[in-house]
Amino acid sequence: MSGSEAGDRRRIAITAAVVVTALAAAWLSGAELHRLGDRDGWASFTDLLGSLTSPDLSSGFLARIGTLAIESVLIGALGLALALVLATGLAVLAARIPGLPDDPLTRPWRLWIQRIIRATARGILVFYRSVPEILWAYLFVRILGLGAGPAVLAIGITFSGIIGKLFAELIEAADPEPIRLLRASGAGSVAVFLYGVLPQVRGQWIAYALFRLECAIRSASILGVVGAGGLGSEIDLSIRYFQYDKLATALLAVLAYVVVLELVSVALRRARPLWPVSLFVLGALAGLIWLDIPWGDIISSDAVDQFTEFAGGFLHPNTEASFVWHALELAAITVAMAWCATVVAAGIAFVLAPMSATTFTLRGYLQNAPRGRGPTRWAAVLLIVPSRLSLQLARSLPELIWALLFIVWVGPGVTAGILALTVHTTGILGRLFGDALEEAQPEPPRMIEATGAGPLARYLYGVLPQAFPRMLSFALFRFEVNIRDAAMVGFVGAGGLGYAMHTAISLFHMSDLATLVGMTIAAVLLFDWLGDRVRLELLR
Amino acid sequence: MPGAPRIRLDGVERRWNPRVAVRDLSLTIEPGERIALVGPSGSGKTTLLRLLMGALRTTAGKIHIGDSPIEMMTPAEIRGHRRRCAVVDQGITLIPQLTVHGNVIAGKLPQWPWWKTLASLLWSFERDETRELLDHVGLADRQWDKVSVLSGGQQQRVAIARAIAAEPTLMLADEPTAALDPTTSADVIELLVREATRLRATLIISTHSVSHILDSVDRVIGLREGALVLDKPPSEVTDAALDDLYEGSRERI
Repeated sequence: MSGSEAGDRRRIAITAAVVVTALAAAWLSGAELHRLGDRDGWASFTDLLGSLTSPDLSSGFLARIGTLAIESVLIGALGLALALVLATGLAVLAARIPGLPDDPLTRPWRLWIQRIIRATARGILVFYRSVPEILWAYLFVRILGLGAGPAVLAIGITFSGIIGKLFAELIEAADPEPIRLLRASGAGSVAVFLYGVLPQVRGQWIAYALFRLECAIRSASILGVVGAGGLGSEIDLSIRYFQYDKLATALLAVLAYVVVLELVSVALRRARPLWPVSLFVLGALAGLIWLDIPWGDIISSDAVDQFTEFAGGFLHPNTEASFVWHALELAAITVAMAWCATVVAAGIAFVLAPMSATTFTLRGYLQNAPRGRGPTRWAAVLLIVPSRLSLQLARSLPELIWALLFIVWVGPGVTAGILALTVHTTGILGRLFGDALEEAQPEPPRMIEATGAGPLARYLYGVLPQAFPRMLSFALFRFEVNIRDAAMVGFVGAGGLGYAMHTAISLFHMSDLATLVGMTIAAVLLFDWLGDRVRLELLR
Repeated sequence: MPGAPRIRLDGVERRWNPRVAVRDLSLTIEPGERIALVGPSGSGKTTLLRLLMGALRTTAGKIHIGDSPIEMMTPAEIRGHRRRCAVVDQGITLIPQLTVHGNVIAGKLPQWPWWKTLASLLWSFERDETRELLDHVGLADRQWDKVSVLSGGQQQRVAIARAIAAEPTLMLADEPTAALDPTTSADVIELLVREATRLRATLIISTHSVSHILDSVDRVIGLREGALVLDKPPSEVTDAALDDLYEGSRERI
């Protein structure tokens, strides 16, 4: 039948296209994977690994690490507090409040002003969330100097973009009826917002803010690698001075930090929201008091001048043809890094996920299968435990840290960036794929088992068809995130747009920076849009 | 290809404490026999079928498939036994995300080497064989449709095509018509009997709706509360005997 063969050909063509484009992406971006075999690089990497077994556990250093970890938590909390203030303001300006049609008595020029304000607020939100927080962090480090302040500001700005978008969407989804009633009774704009809108969105706003708190605290642990305080600063210092014993302690501390954070937020999610909210408020207040943020410097004329220069860069970006061409090339390299890393990571996760998903291996297959005996069960445990642990490790260490480690191995550049993104993405996709597999209905695999087929057929025909569309959509989504992250790893020297932005900030070439940032935003938005289209197609 | 084995049940019991689903059941089923398994809900029909395909263990007694008792089989032998069993279930148990072809192929997977199973993710093997099977059940033109767009009767036909794909010697149908309307039910029963005859397989159909199956089978076995209460050729099964089979349970309720 021709119809079927066309379907098969299409499937093979798409698979081949994905593999070929990933290879092409690796080649075009200039990845040099043979450097993985480089003897000197390997020697210093094994040096580093070896030192992990002898971390610096002197009490003085441990105390310092502990202080830095607490500092990171406070940075996250205070940064989120700043983000919430900015996000609420921007969301209110950007959202169209439902139930209030344009009043025919309002003068047209006022309507135009309202439209312009809305469009501007939306533009600012897009800008804030498309630029990686590490750019803000480094920019503020250059303006204000080292310390926790830049990290707080960076988190505040980036997260206000992410949170503001959702806050605005929630306002627009509110029930228009109570708002219309209030307006009809003659209430002003402030009263309409406080009594008509806020009560409807408050619960969801709080829930979302708490969800983002975890992300902010995690992010705060790494911004230090560009000098912005917290745990990350110790990693940067110890790598720079080859103090691998200190590095080992710091790495283990980041690992513990991320794992503890995950455990605490799982526990708090079950508690009443009063608990996390009061912890958040306490953390933000403590941050305000102890973080020693140079508020005076932020509004000093020097800083204002430099910030104006940064903003001014966007009024006259570097539009020289050769530079724009260079920026385009870098954007292509960044997208290629993300694509290559996502495809390889999805491939590895595709193989590892069924091994780490309990339902269809240990608990499901071996316990429910007739007469699953001791040795097979142990084999499964030996398969599951290492694959779970390595996936956990891969996703717990942030991609920036992976980038720093791979730079020790293969040297700075695109190669380290691709490797770092690949490892981190493998960890995340492995988890997400596993979740998708575990949510599959149990009847189809049971039915395949009833035919007497083995575990492979059971998995491929019974489980995979159910989970595959979701796995594909997770991988696509991760590709979009990776474009942003590929620009981020560049800041520690792992190639692409990020590296060029780092240089531009270091040299204070603000018009170059504006062009590069514009290119980053264009790439992020373009692939967000493409990704949405493809996902819709997939779910059809 | 070995023919259908003789099946011998010897004092078989299956209990879930304190409930007894099947009690002291002794029967011999000859190769190629076509059997209607009747009885009210909860009389142990499904349990008996699951015991026969090796998905459940007996708590007492023995089931001999040919010469070997099922209780003594290794997991590999159990899998081998299941490969020769075809199962058609009461609900419709297809994989909705796959095409008709993919669902029928699922019946052949036990015979495929692992690499062929893996490669079949990309390339559809054995198209012609599948179409021939679908021809038997009257669905040849739907081979490349998603099963989720088919009607209930058509889905049950796909399930039958999958069941006969592996050329079974024992076909077990557990209330295959429970989800279907009367006309479609008659078609499905006829199809099952025809295919079992063609494959010279032993066929056991469990059902509530006894009347329209009597003409098609060689033997009627009735269960009530897990015990054998009826075992006759259909010509000797009277309406009174059937009423009695179902009536008894109603009195108990």
